[in-house]
Amino acid sequence: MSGLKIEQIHKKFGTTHVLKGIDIEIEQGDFLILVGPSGCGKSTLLHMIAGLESVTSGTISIGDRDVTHLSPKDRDIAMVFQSYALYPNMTVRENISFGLSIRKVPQQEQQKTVQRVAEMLQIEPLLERKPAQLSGGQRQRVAMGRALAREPSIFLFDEPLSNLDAKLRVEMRTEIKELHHRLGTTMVYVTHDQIEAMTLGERIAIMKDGIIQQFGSPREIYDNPVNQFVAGFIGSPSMNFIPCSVISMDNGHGVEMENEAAKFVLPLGRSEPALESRVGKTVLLGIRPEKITHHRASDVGSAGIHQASCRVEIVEPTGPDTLVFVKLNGVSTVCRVDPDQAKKVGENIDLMFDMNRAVFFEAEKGTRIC
Amino acid sequence: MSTQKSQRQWGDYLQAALPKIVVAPTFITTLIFIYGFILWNAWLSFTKSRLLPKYDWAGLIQYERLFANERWWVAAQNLLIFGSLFIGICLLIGILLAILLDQRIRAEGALRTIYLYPMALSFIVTGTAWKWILNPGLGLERLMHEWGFEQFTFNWLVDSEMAIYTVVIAGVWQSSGFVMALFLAGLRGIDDSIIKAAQVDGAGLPRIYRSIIIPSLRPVFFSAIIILSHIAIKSFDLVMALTGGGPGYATDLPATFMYSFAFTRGQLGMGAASAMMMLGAVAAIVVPYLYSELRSTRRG
Ligand SMILES: Nc1ncnc2c1ncn2[C@@H]1O[C@H](COP(=O)(O)OP(=O)(O)OP(=O)(O)O)[C@@H](O)[C@H]1O
Ligand SMILES: [Mg+2]
Repeated sequence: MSGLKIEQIHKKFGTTHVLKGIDIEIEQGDFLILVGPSGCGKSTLLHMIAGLESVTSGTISIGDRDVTHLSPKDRDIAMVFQSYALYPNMTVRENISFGLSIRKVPQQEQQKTVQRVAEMLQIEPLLERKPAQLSGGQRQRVAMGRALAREPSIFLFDEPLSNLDAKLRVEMRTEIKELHHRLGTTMVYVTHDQIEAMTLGERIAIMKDGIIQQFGSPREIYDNPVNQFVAGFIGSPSMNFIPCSVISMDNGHGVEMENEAAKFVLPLGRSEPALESRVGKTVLLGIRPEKITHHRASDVGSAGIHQASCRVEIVEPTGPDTLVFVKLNGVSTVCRVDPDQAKKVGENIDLMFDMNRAVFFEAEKGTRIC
Repeated sequence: MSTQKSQRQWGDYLQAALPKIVVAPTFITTLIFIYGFILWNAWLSFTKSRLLPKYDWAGLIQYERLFANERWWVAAQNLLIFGSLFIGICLLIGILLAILLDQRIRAEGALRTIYLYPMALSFIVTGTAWKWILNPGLGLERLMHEWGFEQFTFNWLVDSEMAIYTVVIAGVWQSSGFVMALFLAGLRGIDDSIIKAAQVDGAGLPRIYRSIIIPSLRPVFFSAIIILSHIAIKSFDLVMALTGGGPGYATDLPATFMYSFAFTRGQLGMGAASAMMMLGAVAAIVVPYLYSELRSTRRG
């Protein structure tokens, strides 16, 4: 059964065209992440799924039921708002049970639900407080609690963790994931945090300027980004984009690199048909930081792996790895290196470039070549 | 060198003192003409002053006379009727109008101006206009008669039992637009997504207003009631223009009572005593309000 189906959704506010033809379909019980930079229309799309914002054109179905023109209360949804949207005049307890009392759930059952939700979210001591007496993170948890008190056919979350501290955020992330496993309810989760997107999502839709750039599993999106925007948006630190010229070699193609220490060629170790017409021209090489590492003896001689010496410009220890910045073709390039193998600024370091996962983009437009 | 330095010092001194110099005149006039005269009035209320002020202490004699005066009790009772009806109806109409205007209807700006317009008039104009409208020989009643409704009577203005209610009508007409503006601002201050959250929770619009929006407007209720009640206690011009306190003294309010005793009937002492009673009433309302306001700002 389909969990949520969005077809050719457009949204205009007056003359501003915010959503420009969104198509998404997920199965019942899927966890969909909408991710994208601020202002790309994520909240707008979520509000349209909820029925809080009218649809300019297109259709929305939840669980095989066309809900495009239904009011929010008839859509069987629960939602957590970006701005919490707690009822200021009610206590936390009343906030959580309000939706239940409207649906005429018996008093006793309401209290049981409140208790269950409060335990899960660790807000039991706050139940008798008013929203004004809570911190941002506590409010966010109450907002979560209000949604979790109900058993809807779809949950909508609008950046529910954005105001929590790092530790609580990781905890809540796990909590939400567990919850999803336990309930098996379809969830749509908006975030602009790509780590949240990668860790939570089964299906990720990356949006920009009201258009879905790519829709797929986290792995697909990470390994096979359709364009430079997606490639740069997902992954931290973000993918390196190095302008370089393509050359033809005996065993396929290669790209020319230059830095203070040396001038060298990175062979792909394979022939890419799409690169054939671009020999001698400049393209963008996309290579993730973890694919540029310190010298590893075991990798020497493997197909597509090439070693080169580069001058270290900046060193950023992160704990498990150290990020080493080198300049390649005039562009600062991040490499993920073992802390023990990192060199000091100004020294030369031997780096191993794994070109097997390298991708290529059109230099100007950023569209994927191969 | 040294003159330059002393000049600079003078400049610094002037700069530091300038704010005080600027507010000093208003501060002094306020001190004399408001608080000074309040004290003077308080003193007069304990003397036997009649046409001219006397300053010999006479104890509570003026208050005793005041409380024995039937006309004072009529005025006090009128204030009670006028005040409660005026405040209640203003709130009711104001909230209703505000909720209707809050539905993002077209021409909202124009409607808001129309409702607010009476505020721009002085109570004198309002009172005079309503005097004509309600005058049986001139306004509404005559109009209805001319339209053929010969049985129609509306003579509250000249009926000493009902005249105080005409004051209520005129007062409500003048002030409910203001209450509407107050509530509209309050409604607009409520985060849109709260209403959306309630919709998702399944609440209809009436329920949302009843359970969430109106309860969270409590501070607005508070301000509206405070402002309306001090308008009610001070009401003077409206009554003067509309009924002149009549018929007889049927529509006297404490303010008109005070005026006629102090300035037209040569009972300065008794007028002063009634003014003190009004001050007490206003203080009883305003002081707790100020206290709670200050406390909440201190709380942050
Ligand atoms: N009511 C409205 N009228 C006009 N424009 C609007 C309205 N609501 C949103 N927009 C515009 O639509 C665009 C998308 O807004 P939206 O709130 O969906 O962004 P978002 O992706 O949720 O961003 P964020 O991550 O900052 O929350 C923005 O450019 C915004 O200015
Ligand atoms: Mg948003």
